[in-house]
Amino acid sequence: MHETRLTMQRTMQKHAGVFRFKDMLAAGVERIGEIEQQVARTQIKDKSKVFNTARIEALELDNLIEVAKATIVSANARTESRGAHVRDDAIDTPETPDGRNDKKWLKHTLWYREGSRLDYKPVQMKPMSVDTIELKKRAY
Amino acid sequence: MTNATRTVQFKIYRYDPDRDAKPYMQDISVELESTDRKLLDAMVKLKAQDDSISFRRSCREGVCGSDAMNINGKNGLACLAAMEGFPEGKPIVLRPLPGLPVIRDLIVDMTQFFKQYNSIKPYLINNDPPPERERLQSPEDREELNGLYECILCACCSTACPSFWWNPDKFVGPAGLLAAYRFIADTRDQATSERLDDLEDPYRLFRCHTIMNCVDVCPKGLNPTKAIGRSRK
Ligand code: SF4
Ligand code: SF4
Ligand code: FES
Repeated sequence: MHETRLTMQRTMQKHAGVFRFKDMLAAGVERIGEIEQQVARTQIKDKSKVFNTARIEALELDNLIEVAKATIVSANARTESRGAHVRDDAIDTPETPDGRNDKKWLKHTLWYREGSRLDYKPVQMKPMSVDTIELKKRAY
Repeated sequence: MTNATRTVQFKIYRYDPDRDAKPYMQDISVELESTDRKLLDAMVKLKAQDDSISFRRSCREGVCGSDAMNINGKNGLACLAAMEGFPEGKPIVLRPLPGLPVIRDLIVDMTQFFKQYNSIKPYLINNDPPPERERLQSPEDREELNGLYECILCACCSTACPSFWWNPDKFVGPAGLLAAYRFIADTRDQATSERLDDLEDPYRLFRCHTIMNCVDVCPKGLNPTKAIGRSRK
């Protein structure tokens, strides 16, 4: 289990780190899929009923791999840069400042565990209690 | 820096009430790389070898207070104990914090510790209606809280204190008394005299014999003895 968790962590670091690259993301989606198969087969030796931290870690790993998958599949699909999601292939143009493409990607990503699928929903641009903040190029 | 591996020996206190009639010390060794900087890194590798070795940990940076244990006879946090600080060729001896009931291996039952902490009302008491913004303090008044508020409730101090070992139900212990003084010293708190009255007791505060073990072990470099001294004045 320790090895599987480490492989997952290193894969995410390498394929979906601070700066993201198209080919690396796509390959990472594959890798995480393979690691998910390994996670399904992990075993623990500790069978104790008292404060079983091995079991806790195994349950955490189930959650971690789901989050890893949601992260990397969403990042792979979102072909722009936005906030902390910075893609090398998203270029800076007047319409797409710093690679941010509001025409196509001003929307929330939704991940569904059932069927491992993505969906999107619109961003609420008219908050109820405060003024709308106009979209503009990030200057800080 | 090289990534050479080296072998480090351990002696670990083991007890699983589900399996063991009584506690024993397990001899085990682990291959470490130079990137395994802290004792906690080594312990994570030990657990990869034998997943039944049980201990608490979370933040791995001295903030959560989970991995307090007795390391070569002295209480401390595994995540802050540098591997290079251990003498070479000698096994590292790990035991649970002394004086509290052991649940399993290095995991102790902290109920008594938190009961004492709870007993000093570790929250601001101020009956004035809340202002529009924060309750303000002058920078000088705020400075009074330095060395008091940083406690992470790891219990290294209280479980190193002989007075706490003998009277864990009656003596508040250094962690609780540090927290008590943190609110006594707070200019925004209005319960100062009630707090002092509550400590005015042969046990709650006055069991401290200024043995200073608590100061010696605090991984955050805090000084409960000083806070205790000030509460007595
Ligand atoms: S100084 Fe007081 S509280 Fe600290 S270890 Fe000694 S007796 Fe305990
Ligand atoms: S005073 Fe220090 S040793 Fe005691 S609980 Fe707080 S952080 Fe831990
Ligand atoms: S793991 Fe959080 S204090 Fe050591």
